Amino acid sequence: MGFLIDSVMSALQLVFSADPELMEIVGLSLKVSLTSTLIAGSLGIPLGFMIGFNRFRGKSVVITLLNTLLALPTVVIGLLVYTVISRRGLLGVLNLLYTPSAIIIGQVILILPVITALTIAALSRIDDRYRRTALTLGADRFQTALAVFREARFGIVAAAVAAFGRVISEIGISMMLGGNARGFTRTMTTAMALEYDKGEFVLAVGLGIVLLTISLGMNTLLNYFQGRYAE
Amino acid sequence: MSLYATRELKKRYNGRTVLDLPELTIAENGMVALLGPNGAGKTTLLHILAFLLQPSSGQLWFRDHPVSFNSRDLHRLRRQVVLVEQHPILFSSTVARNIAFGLKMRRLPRPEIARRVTESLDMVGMRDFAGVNGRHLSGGETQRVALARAIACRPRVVLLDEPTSNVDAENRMVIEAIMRDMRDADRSAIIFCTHDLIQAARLTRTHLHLAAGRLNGDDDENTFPSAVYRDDHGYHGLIGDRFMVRLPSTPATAIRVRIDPRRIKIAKPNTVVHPSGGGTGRIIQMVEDGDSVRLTVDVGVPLTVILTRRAYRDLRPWIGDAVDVCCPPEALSIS
Repeated sequence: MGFLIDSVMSALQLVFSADPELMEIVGLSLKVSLTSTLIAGSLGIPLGFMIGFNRFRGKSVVITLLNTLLALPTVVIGLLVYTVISRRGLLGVLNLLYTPSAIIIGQVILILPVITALTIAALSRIDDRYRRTALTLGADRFQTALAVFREARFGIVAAAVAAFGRVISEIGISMMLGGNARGFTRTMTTAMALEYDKGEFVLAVGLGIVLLTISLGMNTLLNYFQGRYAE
Repeated sequence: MSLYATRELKKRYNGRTVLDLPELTIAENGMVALLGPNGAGKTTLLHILAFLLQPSSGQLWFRDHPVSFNSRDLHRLRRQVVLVEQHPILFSSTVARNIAFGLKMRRLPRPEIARRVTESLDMVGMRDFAGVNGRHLSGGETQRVALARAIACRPRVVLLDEPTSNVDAENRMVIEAIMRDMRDADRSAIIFCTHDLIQAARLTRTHLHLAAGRLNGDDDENTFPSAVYRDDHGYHGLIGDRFMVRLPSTPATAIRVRIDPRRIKIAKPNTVVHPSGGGTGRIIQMVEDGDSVRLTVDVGVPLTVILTRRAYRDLRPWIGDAVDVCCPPEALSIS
């Protein structure tokens, strides 16, 4: 018990003294996760919108596939991307392996189905009268889609927040594609795993505190947006 | 020029025909009441007339131009017609922004938008609500804002789906007054559906009656399913559970009987015999309808009877009076 309290106290000291190594790791994690959320969002939101807003043959199959992809394990993605970007892979010449870009590619693949599926879900909860009202008031197809998007905005933001929460806490992709190189690809989760292996708990607990704080912030945001959406 | 015309227009859902209009013409101006019970196809027809729903077959003309529902620029046609739904929905922004929506779609200049928003809000008596979020309005207020949103676009046609069915008495009066103002301003033709005959009579003399997806013609709302019985005197149709009419022909076992409300005779009880069938009923509603008086007589089903002013003066009926109702053969048609 005393050991745990000592670790937590030292970790808190580390956090509040803005330890450079800790800050560097947190900064890189945030940068990588925000970038992958941004990329996946700018692909997944329009994709979800196209699938959710239009009627086409095989729509339910597409949605089922997307929902299946939600359960894709990070190690499978890590392996898959590794085979493509490793030196012998299709994109080996780009030397992406063990760079932050490699982590971002993997994370985008991880959360693209999340954002797309949640966008479709958010749209499906939007009353069809919004679409009809926009049309009857003279909106063309694009303007109608924008009007519906506006009504679904809180649900879509919630989708992005949920996706960010997923990538900031994942470890498989960061470890397999980033390689946990100090000062270059070391993220909060990979650093914690390493510190644990070393038996150095202070930094690990410090990072855990930061990660939990970020998760708490994200969930507060998520609840806020979902609350606004459900109003 | 007609506003709308249809030929062999049909709408089917899952193999069931919900609307079947071999021919319908709606005149260019004025106000039309679309009457009929729930499930008669009124809303389906309004959605087709608003170009929001594609008919399964047949042709629709709008102002003498054939309408192509597959056309990419259907929204150009839609800009001439605005539908206000039975349960209108407001976008989650202020009342003023809701009303400005259609005007922005039409790319009107800002000062013109502001002017029309104020003008429309004044017309529905909601000026003080301009800055209120649409979500925080009551049902009646929402209906009024939805009306203002339609009026602001100044469309060629405003379609109203049961505009007063979900509002309290006070808002119903306000909405009817707005509809009268719209009619008198004569900027837009108005087609509204209702199942309230009295309301239709109050607002316009042009009535269309829909029943089971088919048009019954003007002033011909008395259409009832009827069971057929035979005795020594011929065939009889039982309407409701106690109103029996003598049928002019030999029909099939299940029929629909249409009784022309202008040809029904009513009299004080026990003053006439019913050689052609009929029964007794009680007057439950009376309303002035142009040169006539429209009565609703409860004969087990609500039967509409239209009396000339002279017949009305001769009979001097009161609400609650028991009357003999007689349906001569020429008043009946069978389908």
